[in-house]
Amino acid sequence: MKKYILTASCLFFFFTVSPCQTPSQQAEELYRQGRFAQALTLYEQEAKDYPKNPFLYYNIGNAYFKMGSTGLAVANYYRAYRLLPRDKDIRHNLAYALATCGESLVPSGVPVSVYNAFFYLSFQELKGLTCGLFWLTCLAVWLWLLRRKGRTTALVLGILFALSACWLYARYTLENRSLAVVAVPVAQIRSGPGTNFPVNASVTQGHLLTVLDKKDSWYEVVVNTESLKGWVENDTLEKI
Amino acid sequence: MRKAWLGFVWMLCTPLVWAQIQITAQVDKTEISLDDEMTLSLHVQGGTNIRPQLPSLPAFNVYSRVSNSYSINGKTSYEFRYILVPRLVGNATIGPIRIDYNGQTYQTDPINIRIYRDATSNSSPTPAVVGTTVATDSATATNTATDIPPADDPLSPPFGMEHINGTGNLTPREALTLSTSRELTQQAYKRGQSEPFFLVSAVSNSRPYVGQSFTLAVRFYYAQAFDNAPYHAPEVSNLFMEDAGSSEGHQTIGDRVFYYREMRYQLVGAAPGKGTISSASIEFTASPFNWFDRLFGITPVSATPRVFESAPIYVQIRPLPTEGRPASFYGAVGAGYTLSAAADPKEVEAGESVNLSVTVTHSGNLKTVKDLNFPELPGFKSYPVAPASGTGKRNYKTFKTVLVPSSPGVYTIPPIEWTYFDPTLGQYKTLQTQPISLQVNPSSAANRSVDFSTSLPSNNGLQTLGSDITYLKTTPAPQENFLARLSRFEYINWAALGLVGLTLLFCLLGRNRSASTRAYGEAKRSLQKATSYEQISEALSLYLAHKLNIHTGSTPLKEVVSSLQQRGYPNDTLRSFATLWQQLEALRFAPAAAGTSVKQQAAKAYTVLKLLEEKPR
Repeated sequence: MKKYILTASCLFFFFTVSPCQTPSQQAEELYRQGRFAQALTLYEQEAKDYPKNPFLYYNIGNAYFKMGSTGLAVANYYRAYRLLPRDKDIRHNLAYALATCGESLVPSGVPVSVYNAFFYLSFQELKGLTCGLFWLTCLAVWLWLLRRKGRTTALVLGILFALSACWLYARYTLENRSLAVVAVPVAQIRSGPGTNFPVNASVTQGHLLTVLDKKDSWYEVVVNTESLKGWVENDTLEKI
Repeated sequence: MRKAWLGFVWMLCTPLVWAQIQITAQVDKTEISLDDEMTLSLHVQGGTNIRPQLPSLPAFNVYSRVSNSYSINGKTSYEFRYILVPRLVGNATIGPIRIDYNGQTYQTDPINIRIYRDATSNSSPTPAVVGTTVATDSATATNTATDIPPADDPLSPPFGMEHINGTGNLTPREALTLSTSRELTQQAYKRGQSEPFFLVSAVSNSRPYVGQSFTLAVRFYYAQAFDNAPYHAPEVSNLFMEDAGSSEGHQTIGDRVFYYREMRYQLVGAAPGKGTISSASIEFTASPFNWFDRLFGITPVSATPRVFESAPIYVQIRPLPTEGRPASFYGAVGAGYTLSAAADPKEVEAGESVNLSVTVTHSGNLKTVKDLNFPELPGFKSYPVAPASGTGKRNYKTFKTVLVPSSPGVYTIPPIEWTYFDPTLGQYKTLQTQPISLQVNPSSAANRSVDFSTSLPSNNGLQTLGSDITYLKTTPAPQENFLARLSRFEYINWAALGLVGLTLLFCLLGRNRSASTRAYGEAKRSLQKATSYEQISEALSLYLAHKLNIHTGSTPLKEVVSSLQQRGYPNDTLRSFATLWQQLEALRFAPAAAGTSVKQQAAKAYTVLKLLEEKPR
């Protein structure tokens, strides 16, 4: 009897998850079968090897979303979005997951087109653009100093470089803030870093918080949408 | 003597003055619609044992009477209030209300009332009208038999039965059915032959359906005065019971007049089977109330405590037929239901909410009616809201939902069905609301964070039925593009910055040398463009200054030539320069001596310039 069970298990494993498949293919197969937890494990293992792959974070977010962990899904979609903000699927899933939590990707009052233009390039791409413009500006200045030629070109490149540097600085301040998302169904915000402090508010999963400080196992946070400040246990948050 | 006589007359008249009463009748409105009600108030000042007699009111149904009495400075006042519900459209008159007191008849003026069919046709304000008091000398008072006994009757129950005394306003739904009233009267007739006190009870329906409301009435009859009478309501099983008011009246049985207090309850069958209504009971102390007791108002010594109970009642609750029961049946049993629907607002933008409410009204119980399931409306996202209920002339229950249209257009909310079971006909009856038209305009909001999952088919036949996250990424992630790769070479920034810095330093240091290098070219270009002798002279001066550091501003020619000689220029060159310089000064300061043109002179200057540019020995 045991032999039959063993054989059946091997056959099942063979037909469901073929050993010749790559981990991504295996994860996709599991995902299609609705076995999201197993697919998530494979994706997370692969993400350790390829931490700059936005699609892996996107797929991890999908698996979390299907498992009902909207907060962790939002965190991973955000990671993918930072690496590849122009991807429509990543942007859609992030906005969708945020909407289910009552959050919005585009801040209120900001036109969508402006927001998308501002986040058209990833931070690395913007940094590369700024560097390239700086080099070109230096070259033009150098030529102008030596040959007394190309003054207008140097001026235009200098202006472009200045604009790019401002854009980079704005993105840097946004990227550099410590963003976190509520990863548990409800996180309690207390007035101090300890359970002896009263609960001032509770926030449901998927809401975005900015981490200001850390004390032991507590984060001092600000709820972005409400400007509410307090302390939250760190295991209830997922830093992005 | 005269004063004594007047005092005697005054003493005789005083009781007559005190024996006078004043009555005033007023209504709260003089114009009323058929679906409204009005209050007729009668105020009586003075007197005791007042018994007002209402005139015949064919245009109204009198549903309720409330009486109050109060005493100020030893003078008692009474207030009687009647609830009148109009029956006929047109002009109606409330005739004089009559009170017979001490052999005199007092009556109010008639009051005219205008009755409209509906409230919309009655737009004018309706001031209250007060009837004046008229006293007549007629002593032919007739006590008209009425179901409403006078408030000041000596047989009225004492304070221990306040809950019975407080009749309150009776609405039509609380009026007892004729058959039940007849049954109570018959029971009373049988028992009233031999008993001065008794309780009788009856239900309006002994075989109700589940959910069907019916009335239980308990009457306490008494033909003698009594004291201390707490009342105990009956208890029920397999039934829901609710207080439905009380009233009072009197009935003549044989040669004895019985007064009664009637307590009514609304009952609803909970489940098919047997429903039990236990006995109602009343404990009281009967008293003969002789003239001595009445004079001093004390509890008679001869009083004896007694308890009377009504007979228990059993009803058979019938199940509702399952055959032919539509899905829109929510447990309502009865007749006379009305259904209406309303949407607010009727013009919105896509994404905004519309409150859709469906209201059911009925004269009976609506508490057991389940919540309405609103049908799926294509193009709308629906958010149900808790229903609201209340009481008025009719009970009502309002079911609400919030609709959010996803796309612009003109929508029609189709008729919503609601079914009740009519126990008289033994079948289900379905009511429908009127269709409601909604205008949905395009949303002015540029960014809508919520994605609505349903929409109507568009012109190209596409119909969105739901939304979800997009599927997995199964392709490899794109490689780092050129810009992202550039960011790796941050160290080049320092190199570029250094290059520019060094160049700048080089330029600053070699500026003088550069000027010496450029002196010949600049002088040559100036000579080519020269249009006057002064420009030729200036070009040569700048060349000497930048190239040879010889400044010719106010220096005599001799010293300039000497400086050139010191730098090793040959004599021929010196001679040519001196000749050219003298010619230029002559041409500049003595134009009449001009023999050559500017161009010829510039050519000569260029020749001298080339000689000077040649390396001196």
